[in-house]
Amino acid sequence: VGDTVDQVVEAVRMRRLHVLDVSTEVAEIPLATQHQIDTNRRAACELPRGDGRERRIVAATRASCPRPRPPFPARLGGLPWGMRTRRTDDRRPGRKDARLAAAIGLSLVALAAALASAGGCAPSIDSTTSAGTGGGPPSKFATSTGAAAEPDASADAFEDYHDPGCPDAGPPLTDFQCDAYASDSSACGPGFGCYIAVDYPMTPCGQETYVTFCARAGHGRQGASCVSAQDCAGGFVCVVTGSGNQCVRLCPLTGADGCTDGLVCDPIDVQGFGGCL
Amino acid sequence: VTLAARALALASCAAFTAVAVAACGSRSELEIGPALPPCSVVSDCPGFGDRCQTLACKANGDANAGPPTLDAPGECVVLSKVDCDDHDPCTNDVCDPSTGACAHPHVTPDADGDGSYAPLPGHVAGDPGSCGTDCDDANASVHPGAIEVCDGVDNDCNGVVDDGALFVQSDPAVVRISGDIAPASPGGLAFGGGNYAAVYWGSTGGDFQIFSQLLTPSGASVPPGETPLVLNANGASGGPVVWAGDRFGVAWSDPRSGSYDIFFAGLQPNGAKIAPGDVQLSAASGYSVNPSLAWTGTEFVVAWQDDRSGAFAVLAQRLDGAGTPIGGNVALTGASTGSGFADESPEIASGLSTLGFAWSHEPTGAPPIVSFQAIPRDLTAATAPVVALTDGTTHAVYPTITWSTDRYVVAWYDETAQPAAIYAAAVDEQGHILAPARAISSPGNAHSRFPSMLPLGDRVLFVYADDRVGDGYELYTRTVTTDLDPLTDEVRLTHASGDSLSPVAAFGPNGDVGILFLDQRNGEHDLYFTRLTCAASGSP
Repeated sequence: VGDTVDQVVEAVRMRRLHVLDVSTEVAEIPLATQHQIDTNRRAACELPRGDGRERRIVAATRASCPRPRPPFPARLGGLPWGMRTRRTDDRRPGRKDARLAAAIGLSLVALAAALASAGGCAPSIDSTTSAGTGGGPPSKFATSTGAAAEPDASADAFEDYHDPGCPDAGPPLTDFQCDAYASDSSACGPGFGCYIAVDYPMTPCGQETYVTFCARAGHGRQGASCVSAQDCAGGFVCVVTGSGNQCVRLCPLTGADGCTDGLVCDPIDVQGFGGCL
Repeated sequence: VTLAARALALASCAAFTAVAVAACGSRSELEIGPALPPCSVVSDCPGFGDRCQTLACKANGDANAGPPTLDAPGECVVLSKVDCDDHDPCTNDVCDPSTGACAHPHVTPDADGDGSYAPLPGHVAGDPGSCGTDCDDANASVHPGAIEVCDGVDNDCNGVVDDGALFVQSDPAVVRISGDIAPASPGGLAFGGGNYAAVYWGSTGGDFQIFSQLLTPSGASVPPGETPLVLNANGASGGPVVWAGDRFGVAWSDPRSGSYDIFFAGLQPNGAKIAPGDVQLSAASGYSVNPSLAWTGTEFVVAWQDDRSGAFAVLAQRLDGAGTPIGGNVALTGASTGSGFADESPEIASGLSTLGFAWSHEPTGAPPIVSFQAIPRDLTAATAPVVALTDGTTHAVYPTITWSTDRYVVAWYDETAQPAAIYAAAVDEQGHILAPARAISSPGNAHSRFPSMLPLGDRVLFVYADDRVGDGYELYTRTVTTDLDPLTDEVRLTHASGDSLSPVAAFGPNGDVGILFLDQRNGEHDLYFTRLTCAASGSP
């Protein structure tokens, strides 16, 4: 089952990777099919398996389970440099991405057109740059309006710029399936922990989805190095701290946060959640 | 000699004069010059009437000969010149041709008319060879000998801002500046054009947005108040902001392009964004985050951490004063997949002739090491060495950096050292450690975190958070010498329940120091502003 799911999801993933370039690709995924994929993936991801399958599950998880579990963004308050998100599987669609894409389905084409015509954020994606192709210096510098910021001696440095920004995609969706604060097995069963993640939009200015999900628990606790969320024990989240990717305890941003040893509860990317940093 | 030949000879002399004045008209056989101009009388000679030299028309150009004859044609001879050299390298020695009088104008201007000259470009006022002692030739109240007053300015050009001044908290003590955007976090603060520009980010309805707001010197909001820096750029953060003399520069990270990239924009003194708007500095998959921003006097430089090579490395980008990128992204550190380390949390500052940057160097499986390097302002290969400021035995994190007179001061906090204090070290532009790492705060068994610094020439002002009082974190300030010796006690600035964290300090007007910080006195993460005022001063 896992192999089949992987193959199907990989196929979806490959299609999804093209969404930035050809939005119609998304619309071609039938909603019903997509839902079935989601269901199968959920089952594959959550089933406990033996060692031989676990490694596959890990692989499947990274490619297709409800979001790769990358180090999570922390927003350590007030540091001028901030702390930001790391997505080790950048641009690789998670389940939510695919489902979202299907959910908005055909409307994406219209949305993309609307973005372009509105002069909004969509044009800010400079297709000539290396975004999505593995990095490298930009071949030119894109502005919000998509125009290259070439030197212009005639330009008035103090000409006002009216930022079109992004169209309002609405507040992030939520899909909380377990209690991410739970550091024991109460949330997901023995050997599993509840993890929190963001499904980032695959389109410019898109809508995020905040999720919690069950997955096999790691062992990392406060301050332990991590590569992905599941390197951490339940109740912890893997964040880019700006000083190494670390497991940090989840904490509520209001009220008693439970952080000890001088740590403070700093916001992470999911509204209302913080990490002890 | 035909007229045509004479004209040609004169023209040759005139042309050559531009490059070798002394040779024109000279009779020295050792000097190679144009043909001497023929003449019949002295008035034929070029330069006749110039009282800075004595001319004659002599037979065969022999200064000791008589006037020209039919057998001995005349040539112009310079018999003498007025010597105006005053042997002062800081003057231009010139002779007035109409009077023959010498003048010795200074090689640098006194634009503000305060009687002191500006230094030569690239020199520090008062240094040998600088030819100028005015450390601000645009401000007539600033010059050597001026009375040092408490205004945040080095009035007497002794390299010290507000000599001996203390900074005390003003009244009202704190002002909340963020609206309904909790949790909010400070990004940056700078003063220019009569107001502070505060940049911060926070959550509205679940999305994290980045905002800017102008504040009066007392912290009151300037219309239009809290304004999104980028509309609906969900996930934006950052916000280091600097004043560049006529505009603010601000840098941040946002994921509008599908991954986190670094952006830059200029803001007018009234806070409006300047065309062409947001300039995208990075365009790579993965994460380009945690920007730091410096203004060198002519350019902006942004540095950030970037994992396009697999592991976080530090990259940087130059921009001109209008915000146009100069060249491409430059890797300042070499972290990559398999390198066995990562480099994060860069902070940069502009020094005398270099940029200094400090960062967290993280060997795999080992504690981070606070590192420093001075690099050329054009971001070409550094000649100064990388300097490790911590030994990697403790968890020293999140360095910040400032330049003060002759050195960079790097500060950080250490989560596992005893004490868990603010630490700092001083390094010069060649990478020599002038003051080794030492604790700046004394938290006892508690913790000090989040240092922010301002340079005062001979002193450095620290503002930081500390939880020694047992009721969460409060803000403290202390002034130390540039050798990091304490000059003042630690003074507590905040007193409310709930944590006060993450101060960002900036010089304001009239000796003020503005402080933007996170505060939870109302149970949420809100942003507040407070300020210190210059309390006393005295000329040395």
